[in-house]
Amino acid sequence: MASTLKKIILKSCDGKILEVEEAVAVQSQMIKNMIEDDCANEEIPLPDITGEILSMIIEYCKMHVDGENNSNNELIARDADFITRVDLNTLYYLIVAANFLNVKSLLDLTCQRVADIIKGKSPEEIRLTFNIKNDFTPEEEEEIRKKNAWAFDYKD
Amino acid sequence: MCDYIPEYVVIEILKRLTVKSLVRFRSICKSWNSVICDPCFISTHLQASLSNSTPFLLLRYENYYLHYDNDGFDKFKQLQFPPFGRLFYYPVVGSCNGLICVRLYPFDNFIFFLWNPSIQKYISLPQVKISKVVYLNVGFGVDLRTNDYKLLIVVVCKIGGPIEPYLFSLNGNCWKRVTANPPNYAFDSRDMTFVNGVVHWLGFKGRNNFGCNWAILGFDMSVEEFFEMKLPESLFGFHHVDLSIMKYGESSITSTTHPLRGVLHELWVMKEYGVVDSWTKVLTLHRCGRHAWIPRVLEFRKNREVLLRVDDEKITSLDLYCQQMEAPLYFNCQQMELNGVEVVGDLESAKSYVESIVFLDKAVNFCSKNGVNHPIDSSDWE
Repeated sequence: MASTLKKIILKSCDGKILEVEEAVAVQSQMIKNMIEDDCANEEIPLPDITGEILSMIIEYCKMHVDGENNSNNELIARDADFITRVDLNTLYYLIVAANFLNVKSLLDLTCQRVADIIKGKSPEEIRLTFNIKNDFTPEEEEEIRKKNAWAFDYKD
Repeated sequence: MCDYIPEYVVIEILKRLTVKSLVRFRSICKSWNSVICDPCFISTHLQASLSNSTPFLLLRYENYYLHYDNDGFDKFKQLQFPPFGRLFYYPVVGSCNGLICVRLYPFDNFIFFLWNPSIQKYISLPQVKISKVVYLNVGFGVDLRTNDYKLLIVVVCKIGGPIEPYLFSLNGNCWKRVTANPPNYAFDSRDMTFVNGVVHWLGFKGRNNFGCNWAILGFDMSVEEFFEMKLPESLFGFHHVDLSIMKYGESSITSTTHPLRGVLHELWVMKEYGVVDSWTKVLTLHRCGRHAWIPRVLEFRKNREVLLRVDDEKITSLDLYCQQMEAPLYFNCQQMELNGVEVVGDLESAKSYVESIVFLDKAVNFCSKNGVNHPIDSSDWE
């Protein structure tokens, strides 16, 4: 049983070191592959992932390992509770990290959350939210709006 | 949010959005617009919709309507039908991966449209040059290797003459005569069923249609070859007009019989595609009592329940698994729960449907070409 207690050491980009049980760490397909290739015996540096984001991801993975025997509905409720506590800015860093670490269920959860937040918004609101510069000329933008007028009725 | 969002993050988020949001978000900036219009993204979005989003049923009664394929058949919206003349009747040939193939009456003109109701665009296909036709069968589907939408028609131009197959490819935007020869079975003028990358139709042999040479004929849209599969033996006695085939789930096919003697319907499922021994009878509907309702099998739902039209204005859904699949389910019309949806006017067809932005790029590309027979970008007709 010793293998189940094996710890994986992760190091965030801001120098925070976290010890994680192997069962939790292998929720990340990337770390799982490293363990299988015998490359996870020393600390694994994670560039681009801060300690704060890494802690959240470990919390999420732990929740899924602990909840393995729970019903599907219970897990969905826990996921919803986890994700609604996260603001849009943090969501972005979670997506980047979930993608890098290859935690598919977390990538699904975070991207779906962003999609749910933005789906009913106007293009102007989206530009503000994501800090996007409108690089269309007024004529080009009008052309798209005119040809797809039906989509600009926001009752989604 | 940070100043720069990598494209893969944008794609991961956008592929989870509805068609309406996506079309609106084209106007946000150039890079979002090019992501949304990119054929790879369109395909990614379609796959995400097929596996995750609530499926729809396309119902035709008076107009075309989308209903959610959920417990309540909740109505989603009425579809705006393309304005190519109201005098004609447009039967739906098939619905596949977000596109609906519609055929313009009169049939001998071979005028077909591909329509994406979700983005309100359609194109008309170039006309195929075939002389007088006695029988024809039409099948719409997609080449699963290339994601190219294809339309097959098999025609008989004179009684007793050979069967000629023609195939349209949307990527190539042209018709061609298929070189492979279809198995020599007679058929009726009916639309084909698309399952598993293959369009299927029923064929029979011999002058006497009560003979036992029955087959399901298939045309694989990828390798462009024909093949045949046997029907269950107990259906051999049926007349060809009493049989039909339908899609069952994503990869199987059913054969249903129409009213005959005391039995209203028998429903057979080929549980394992292509394996003749796997034909299993899953449902027998008996006529009982004085009610004259003759339920008609319309479509199989995403949850594999069977959708029945019960009388003129009602449809209902029947769970084939409330008994074991192996034991056929005997169903009494009097006991049927009529909590289906109210349909105004005669329900003519029901097809499964998924929303997609297929065509967002295509219609524009086709428009930039000059030529007599090229499809038309519907947005230019506004």
